[in-house]
Amino acid sequence: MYAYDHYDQHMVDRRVAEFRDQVSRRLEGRLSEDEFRPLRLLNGLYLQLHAYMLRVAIPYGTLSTRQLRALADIADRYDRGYGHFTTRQNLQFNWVKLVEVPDILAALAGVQMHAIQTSGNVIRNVTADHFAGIAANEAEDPRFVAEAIRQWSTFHPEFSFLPRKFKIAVTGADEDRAAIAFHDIGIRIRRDDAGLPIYDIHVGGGMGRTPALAVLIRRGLAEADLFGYLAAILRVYNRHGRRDNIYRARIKILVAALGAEAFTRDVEQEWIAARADDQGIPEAELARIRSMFAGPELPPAAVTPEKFSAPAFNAWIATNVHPHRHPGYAIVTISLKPIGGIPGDANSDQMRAIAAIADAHSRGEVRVSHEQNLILPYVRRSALPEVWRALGETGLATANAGLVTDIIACPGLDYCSLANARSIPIAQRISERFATISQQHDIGPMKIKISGCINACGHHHAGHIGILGVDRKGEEHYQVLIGGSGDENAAIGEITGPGFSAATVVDAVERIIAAYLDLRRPGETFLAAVRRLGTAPFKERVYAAA
Amino acid sequence: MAEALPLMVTANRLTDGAVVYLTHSGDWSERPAASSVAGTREEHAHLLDTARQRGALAAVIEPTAVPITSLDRPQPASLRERIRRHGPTVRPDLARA
Ligand code: SF4
Repeated sequence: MYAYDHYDQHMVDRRVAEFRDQVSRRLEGRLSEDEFRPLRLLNGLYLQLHAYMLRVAIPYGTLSTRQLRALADIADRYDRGYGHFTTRQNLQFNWVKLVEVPDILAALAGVQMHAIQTSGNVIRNVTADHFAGIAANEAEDPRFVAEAIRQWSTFHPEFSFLPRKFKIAVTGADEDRAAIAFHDIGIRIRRDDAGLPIYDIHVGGGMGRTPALAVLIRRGLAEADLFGYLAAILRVYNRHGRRDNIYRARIKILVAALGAEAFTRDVEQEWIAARADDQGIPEAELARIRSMFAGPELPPAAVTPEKFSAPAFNAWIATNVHPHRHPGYAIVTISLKPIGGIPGDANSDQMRAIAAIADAHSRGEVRVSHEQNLILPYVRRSALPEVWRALGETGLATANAGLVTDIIACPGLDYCSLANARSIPIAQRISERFATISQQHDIGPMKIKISGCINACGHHHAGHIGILGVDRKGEEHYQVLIGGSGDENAAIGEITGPGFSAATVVDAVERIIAAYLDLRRPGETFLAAVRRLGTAPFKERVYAAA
Repeated sequence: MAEALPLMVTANRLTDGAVVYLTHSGDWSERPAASSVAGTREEHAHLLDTARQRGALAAVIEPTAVPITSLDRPQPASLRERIRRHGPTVRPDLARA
């Protein structure tokens, strides 16, 4: 794992002291709210419906158990005993007090964490494949690039006042678990014929009001050119991005307006022109960062799991345990989606229990996935029964990863000041409707994603079934989308037609799933069936009974 | 923009973000009461004047006038404001009295 050096620590400590001063000036009335708001947002501090919300960065979703325990302690001491893991691999505390935020930031800095780059028109916390470094078919651990981008972009004067927020995701695997097509920049690392890492650069993806899939503008960029090329993209964006209209300001709009070809030409020109002056990150520094992601030495381990006959254990193995690049080891998904629960929430006891399990069985490391689950990256297969039992003791052994009840939901109108409608109760009701394990397995791979407004924090455009909360004359109303996907075959979901009330939207989801069960070929997943048949037969069924 | 009447003025307290309601005496209360209600434009103006005189606006952020259902019950009309008043619907254990 990456460990802060003197500079990292100094920067973060200095930021805490600076914010402490800003908070006290605000409390004394020497700063107005208009003056203070941008300063607090630079430190991840929002005002939500009920209180301030602090968004803590979890760079590329990697946490040490020490950090996880610190988050649990913060939840108990300064919040209400829980936190919410987000689709950006971050953690949100929902009830912090302004007067205590400097102390929270100091506690975070004590474990090499912060809330920088979690808000504002900057390069946001860079996300990465949650199976980074452990997936079987990976060219390179993408976290090394994500960390290098973090260091390069943090407080970068040229990129601190972008037209709009800017999100970068990195993957090093063929299977895209980082949803790179839905990011402002998506980076895929591959290896060239000589075995050297090369980078494919995708630009202009995003969700929100105008969903777009990123376009591949550069294939096989050499490592030495990566940062010069990223800088060129950001410069073109800085120069031409629409600062006059918040809805037109994302880079996806610029790419669409100029056309991918013209946009790429501008980027290449900028890149070539600046190449002589801009050397990017020194090779030695990249090597230093890379070396920190070598991963732990894993001693050989028995390849087969212990015999264990409990059906519940076997169901959990089938969905929540994934192949590891080291034989004898497994990747475990800890579902934060108990049936009827709040997607992504974990209380402090659960955080501590997970930390203890990760210390005993996963080299003291935990990951956060953009699907709002946690990952144990280094579990010996022989320890799986013990891990399962221990998780079960704190309600964390739900066997549903990748199934219909593993739902992404944003905080929605229960917490968020921008929301039109609630997301969480819809997720809870769908989860309860499909609670039976055999039914979930019968339905197979299914990603339901719910957002409480067009900002799409719940990734509804990328859901196999997506749900978007809208406000219809003061009532909660829901549009339903089908056929979206955030993986290597990314697609934007298609709206089925007229929306549904809160009372009827779960029935609509059930009808879509029933249509799939009727129409599928043997072994065909929901998404494959939608791609084969188109959305028409599903739409027909959705509205037939309405 | 003129809000529909009757209304209350709500905000989040600066120090801790808690949801609060303005009373006619110019204080902020965590619970809306009859003394928070403005039934007429004049009463609304009076609420804000008293708050200004008492320097109460400095203690909060984002003060907003929100419609309520009736003069007798200071219950916010919109779902959003009812959720602000009572807490997240998905966490009844954290509900505000
Ligand atoms: S999608 Fe909308 S409602 Fe949901 S968290 Fe984002 S801004 Fe809030």
